[in-house]
Amino acid sequence: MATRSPDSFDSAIQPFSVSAQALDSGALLIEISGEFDLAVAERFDEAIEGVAPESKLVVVSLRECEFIDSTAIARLIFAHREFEREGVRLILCEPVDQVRHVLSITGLLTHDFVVDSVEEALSGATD
Amino acid sequence: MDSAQELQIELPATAEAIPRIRAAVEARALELGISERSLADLKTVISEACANVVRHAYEGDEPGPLEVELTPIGDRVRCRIRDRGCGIAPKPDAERPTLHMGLPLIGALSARFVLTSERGVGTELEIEVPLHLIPVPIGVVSG
Repeated sequence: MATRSPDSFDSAIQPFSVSAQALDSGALLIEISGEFDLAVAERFDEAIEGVAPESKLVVVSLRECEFIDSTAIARLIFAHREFEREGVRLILCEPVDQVRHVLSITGLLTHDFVVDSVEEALSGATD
Repeated sequence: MDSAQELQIELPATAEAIPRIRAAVEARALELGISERSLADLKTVISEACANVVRHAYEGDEPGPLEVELTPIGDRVRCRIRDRGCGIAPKPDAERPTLHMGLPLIGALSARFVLTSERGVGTELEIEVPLHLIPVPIGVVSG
């Protein structure tokens, strides 16, 4: 049996990043990219710690998030709960196939929590 | 079984090992002709299994080994994720933000899984994933 070093595959890892920007509506847009798992969960926590949106809406775009695991889902749910305590709604949007599938399996793929686009999240929040 | 087709990895059981293992497994699975949907499920179950090892297998600050094997078996791939840790035991985990979804996700996304654990010897999770799952549309349900 051949043992391969995983070093040669490191370049295939999609680097994780998270950024936040205020939109004109006052909503806060958080964009997550790369692979969101246990290895980077603390970076997500640090990035959103103390974030205070001007409005009552936080939109998390997962368009560039290529992978998610249950650790990441837990972080998103805990963030949702934290914002909810402040009267702020958190909506996920634009999940790619793997992310959509995991959200579906875990019963989180509902209109209340996941939408297809940032625009839909912003318009839904004003319904 | 052609043993030359196996992938075997051993790394210290740290969180940083998980994306590296996932990348290596992805590369090998693609060589085996895995479908896009099956690959997504395979990466998810591997990540969940490895995360369990990182979180629960070893006591103290020094991580022990995390071993992963990937073997093609007919129309499936078999993954074995093994540690040499404490075995499965109930532990309070009040400080950690987790929803304990890992093993249920593995069950939902695999064709079969077998968990073997022995106190003080370690834990092995054997998982089989079909190579060719057909994509199905996933719709949003009314909340």
